[in-house]
Amino acid sequence: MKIELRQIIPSPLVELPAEDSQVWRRDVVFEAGRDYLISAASGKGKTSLVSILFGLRKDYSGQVYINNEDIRTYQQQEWTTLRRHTLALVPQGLCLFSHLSGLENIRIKNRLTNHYSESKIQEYLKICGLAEHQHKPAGILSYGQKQRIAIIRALCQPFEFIFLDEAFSHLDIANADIAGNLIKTEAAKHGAGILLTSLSPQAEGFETTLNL
Amino acid sequence: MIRKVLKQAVNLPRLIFILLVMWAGFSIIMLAVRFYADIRPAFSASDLWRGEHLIISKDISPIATTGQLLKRKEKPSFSQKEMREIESQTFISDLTPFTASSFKARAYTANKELGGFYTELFFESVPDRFIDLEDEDWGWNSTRDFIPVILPKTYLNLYNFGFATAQNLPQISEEAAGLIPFKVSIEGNGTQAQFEARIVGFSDRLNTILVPLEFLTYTNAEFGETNPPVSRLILITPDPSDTELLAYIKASGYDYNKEQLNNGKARLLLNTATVIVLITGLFISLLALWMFILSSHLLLQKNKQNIHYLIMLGYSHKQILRPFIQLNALTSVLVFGLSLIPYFMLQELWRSNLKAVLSESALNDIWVFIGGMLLLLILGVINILSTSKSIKKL
Repeated sequence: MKIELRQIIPSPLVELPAEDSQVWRRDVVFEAGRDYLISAASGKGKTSLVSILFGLRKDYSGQVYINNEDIRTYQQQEWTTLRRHTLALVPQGLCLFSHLSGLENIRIKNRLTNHYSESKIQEYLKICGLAEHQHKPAGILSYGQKQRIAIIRALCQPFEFIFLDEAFSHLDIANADIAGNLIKTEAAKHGAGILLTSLSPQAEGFETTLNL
Repeated sequence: MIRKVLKQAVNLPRLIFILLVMWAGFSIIMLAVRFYADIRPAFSASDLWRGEHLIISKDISPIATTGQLLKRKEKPSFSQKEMREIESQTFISDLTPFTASSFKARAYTANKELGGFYTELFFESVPDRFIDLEDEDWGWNSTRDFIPVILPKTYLNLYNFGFATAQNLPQISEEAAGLIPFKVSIEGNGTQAQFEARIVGFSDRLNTILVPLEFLTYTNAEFGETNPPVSRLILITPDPSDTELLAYIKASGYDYNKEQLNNGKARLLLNTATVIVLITGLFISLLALWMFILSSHLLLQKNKQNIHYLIMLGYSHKQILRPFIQLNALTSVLVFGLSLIPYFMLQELWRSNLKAVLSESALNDIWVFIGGMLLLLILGVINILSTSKSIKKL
């Protein structure tokens, strides 16, 4: 899979000086099987980029091509299919249902794809240290715990690209490593690409770093 | 699972309230239809006439009687010109004169049980299109010497409750009367003829002895005069109690059957009342639908974020709509089921109170139910379409 950005810029960022960015108003290609770190300070449009690539925002100029198809031409139905089988996402806001338990939040995704067995989910919860918290409503979990729930949820589907929008921001190094490895293992299994946005200018093991 | 996500924002008391309003509206509609179907036949019981009609004749004044007695005046009759004029009125959709017999006729039986019955009589005829009688014996042609006859019901009553009682004769039911053959002899223009006859029906509304028009045309030509004067007209009109029509009849100096008109008025009243009740029921149902839609929208608004999350996870609009469809289906089933309680209870109430005047209703409950389900289905579809539209708009 190949994602191509051609001279895109989100409408709210039009004022931004062009020469600063390695993504906005440039031609950029993301390829499956590779890892990308998009690094930027707050307000430079990290979440906007992820939202555009995931079909959640359409207020941008320029074109985005997924496998040579302009994503503006996609109907809702096509996005639904992409989000089930091709594109995974850990959104910055995590988007958990706060009144459902951690486990239910994972199940609601897995029901859609039937990707993992119940025992596999349990295994991941254990690896991430969430086994004893899985039945608590997501609303009362710590932000770090929520992030891990959201990461496991994102993995409950086949994907060719996974977008991680500051997915490790509230994890300590040990937990970030565990979650990171989990994602890398899964991505490698699928031959998928990883696109991580972060405030920090570098991340271990990421080949390509682009400054927004 | 989606249901669990959305459920948190459901307001149960509001849902129950909507259910009750829907139930009230729907019950009113079903009951109104049932009541109308039950009562309606009582206003138009067993009649042989097609459509709404009114029979008019010329007013018979004392002066006219005296005039006729002194042979100075013709009997009052409708001229061709008058008939054309009446027919041209907008509130008349069809008109025909009664053709009267212009010869002497006698009916008699030789039945011993009935004591050998003999009477002088007359006949009248109207074209078959005015008569709603399904009897294979109705009709006549010159090869038959059998005449089918329709009598006013009052004649039978007169016999049963007056004559038979006084003379100690057996009373005769409508069915039995139809089985008694009798003979008719006709005399005029110096000749005479005999015919077999049988009563094929009774009419509640018309005071005349009806025979097929073909028969009367033939016998009038043979035994009387070809075009006897017309003394009565039958008018087919969409509404016999139309004030314009009555004003016209009055102004022209014609006479009409007032009792029949009362029946028409009562029917009109029943129709109006039913329509008002139906509109009320429909109004309440629409109000409930509106509340339901509003409540669904509120639920959607409250769940706006959750629905965004679901879509982000890869749920389709259809999947998100599904719990709303389920809720609607459940509500419809409950409304329908609950409305059967007042439907059967109140139906029992009026049926036992009005037993004397009600006859078997032609409308089976099944049709009321099918109609009701269709209505609920339509309301449901409107609700779902509206909800679907607002999910897409979120």
